[in-house]
Amino acid sequence: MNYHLKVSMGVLALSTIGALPATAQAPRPTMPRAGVGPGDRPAVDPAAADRGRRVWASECITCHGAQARGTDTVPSLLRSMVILRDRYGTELGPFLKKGHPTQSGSPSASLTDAQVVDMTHFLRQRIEDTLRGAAPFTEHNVASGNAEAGAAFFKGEGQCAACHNATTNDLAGISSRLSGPVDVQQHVLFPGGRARRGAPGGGSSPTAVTVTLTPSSGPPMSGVLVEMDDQFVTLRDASGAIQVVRRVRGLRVVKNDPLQAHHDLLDRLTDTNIHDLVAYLETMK
Amino acid sequence: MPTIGLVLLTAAGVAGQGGLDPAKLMNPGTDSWPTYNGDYSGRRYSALAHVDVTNVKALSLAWIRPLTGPVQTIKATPLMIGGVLYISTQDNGYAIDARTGRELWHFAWQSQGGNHLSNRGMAALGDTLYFETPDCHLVAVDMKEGKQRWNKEICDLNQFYYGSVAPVVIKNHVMTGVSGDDMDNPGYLEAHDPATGDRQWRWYTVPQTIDEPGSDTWTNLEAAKHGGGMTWQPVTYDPDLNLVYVTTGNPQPVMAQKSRPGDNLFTGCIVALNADTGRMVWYFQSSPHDTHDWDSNETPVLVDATVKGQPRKLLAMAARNGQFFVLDRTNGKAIVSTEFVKTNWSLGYDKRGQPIPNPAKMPQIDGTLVSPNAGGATNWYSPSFSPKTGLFYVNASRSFSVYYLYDLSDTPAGWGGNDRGGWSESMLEAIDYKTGQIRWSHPWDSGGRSGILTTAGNIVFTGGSAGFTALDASTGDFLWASRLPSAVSNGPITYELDGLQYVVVAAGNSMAAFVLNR
Repeated sequence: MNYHLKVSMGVLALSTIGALPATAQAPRPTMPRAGVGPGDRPAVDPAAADRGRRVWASECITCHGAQARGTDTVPSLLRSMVILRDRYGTELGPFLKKGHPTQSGSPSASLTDAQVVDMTHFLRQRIEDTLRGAAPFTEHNVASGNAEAGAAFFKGEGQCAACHNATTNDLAGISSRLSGPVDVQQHVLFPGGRARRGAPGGGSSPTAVTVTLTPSSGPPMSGVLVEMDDQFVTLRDASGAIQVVRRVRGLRVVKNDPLQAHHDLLDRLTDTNIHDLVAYLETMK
Repeated sequence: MPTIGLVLLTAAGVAGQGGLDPAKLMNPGTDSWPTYNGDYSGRRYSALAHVDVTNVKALSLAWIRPLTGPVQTIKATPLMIGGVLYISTQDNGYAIDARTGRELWHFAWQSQGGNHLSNRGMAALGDTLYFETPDCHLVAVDMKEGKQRWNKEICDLNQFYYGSVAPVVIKNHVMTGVSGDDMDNPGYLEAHDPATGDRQWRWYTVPQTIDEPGSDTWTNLEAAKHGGGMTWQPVTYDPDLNLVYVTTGNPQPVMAQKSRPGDNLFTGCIVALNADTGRMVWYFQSSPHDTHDWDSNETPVLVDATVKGQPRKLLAMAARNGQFFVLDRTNGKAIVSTEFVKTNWSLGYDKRGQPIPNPAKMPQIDGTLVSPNAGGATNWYSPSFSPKTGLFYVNASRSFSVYYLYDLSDTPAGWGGNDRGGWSESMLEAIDYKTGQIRWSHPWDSGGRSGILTTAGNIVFTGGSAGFTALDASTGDFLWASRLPSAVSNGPITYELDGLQYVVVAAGNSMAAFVLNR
């Protein structure tokens, strides 16, 4: 069998790395996710996969399902050795030419080489779309909470309003600044981001962790914590200078994390509390 | 006569490349480190006491050397045999002179792909070394020159398996585990002939036929056959019982668990196998129906102890899900089941002492806040047990993240969900193995994700916030640290050479040796 597309795929693959000028308007092949599986895993040509989907829909979908994942009685083709070993029809072609053991539609040997190759793109796309990092590998709508209950918790039991009110850390407009309920949820639980240490590029945030060092004699010293270990405390002082202080006996080290109340909440919040808070914060456009 | 002295040392070094006497595997002594864990017990405890709490401050750098080639972070524990260190990284093997750090040979494998996340190290027998490659091969190289003797395919790259586990030689078996959780495949442990690489037996961690034990804990055979349970961690071994202790990873699909209700045996388990047949003798499920990628792949540490006046053969494990277990290793019965960090995902223990997962804390469409995160309360890095203190040492984390369900179909595949986090804090914990109580906890502001070594000098060596760190094994007090170019990335080892105690550790792409000079 000749699988001509294998050759054209090679050209397309080269074009994606700039070795050749981009040709026409053809959709680019999706290269396999790096760092997993065989190094020669086939790329997916979206146009071929779309053509393959149509063949699939007419010949295979009834038994193997829309996503090729099978049923209780029909195997998932994501787990089929024929598919996993296939390279642009090398395995699926001979398999179908022999005649599908339980086929219900057209004789499988009647499929053209091009149809077979198209179908391998569709099936390989199903595999690649299942891997971590693929486009479908993401959250659905997480907005399941009750905004009124969230407001009550915010102002009452959660004690959120003690820090977040009209005068300090106002959350007005929070949902407009963040990109949807998942983002809001992650921020409620894990605020602060990366700029909380005094290393270059960090430490300017109001949520930066600070430290106060009190020696057994002499004045205390404070600043934004850069790092702390068993031997030294490194901080950025008010002048912006890095100070490295050896941890000798008698040196008192007090770390102050402005977000400690958030960390403490992790042990107290129920999932219902969390989802209600997200629903409430989503009302703050 | 310094010249003659040098010649003699060199001769000893070359002679040392004659290989590993199989008797050394049973009784390594203090002049070698012949297996991943130093010995079969997994204790990572050395009887050496040249370096102790009083003089460790004088421990000094003998050499530090980056490995040649395209080296990623070194996670392997080196072997030390006859004055030579043997270590592997993904696709590479090295022999390094233990006195000077000089590279004696470098073997480079031509890779066909695979996940290059890690390589945990080599096994040795006679004059042959064995290691796994990311593209699913067990490779045997000769110890003297680093020339390939043979290679065998031990897993299928097309199914997204890969090789990362340090093999362990037990009698005439090279035990190999497999890795890979991107798609839904069964885990297994294999034994190979040390001379030819031929497979002697394979034990699947999940049922492959409906008649096998455990199949009633899956919804159907298809789910069981593809149910995961990778064998990521090198095994431990009790020669008297002839039992191999293997740990198994998470079930598949990892987080979207709709198609696999039930306990999903024998994933998330500690399992005892007959070393010669691969037949299962007992199991204990430390993470039933795992939905958080926690596995149960921490080192099963063998502890011999006297409990209530009776000598007992025990097995202790601090699991990634935050649970600490002590079992009777003759039969798998739990003696201690408790948390070593606070968690929020279980509803207590069943009558076997196994935790009961809370369904509400399985990944949800709108997210559920779970402690620990997928990284876990600990992870692959080795713990240690000191018979001198009776304490089990583990680098631990308390963490939270939100677990989301992505794949809502009736036939999920792969992961189907993920955790997003989070907040965490890390510490080294010393656990009284008889009760599971934390004797002391030493906080890390950063670091702490490396293996542990304990010694008769009453020292805990590990990677801490200040770099390679020594703590007092009884109190957790800080004693010494050395700031290496990057965080400690493997488990430290120690051995005696020329009458000196060396301690060797890896940090990033470099290896460093420390010695107490006289």
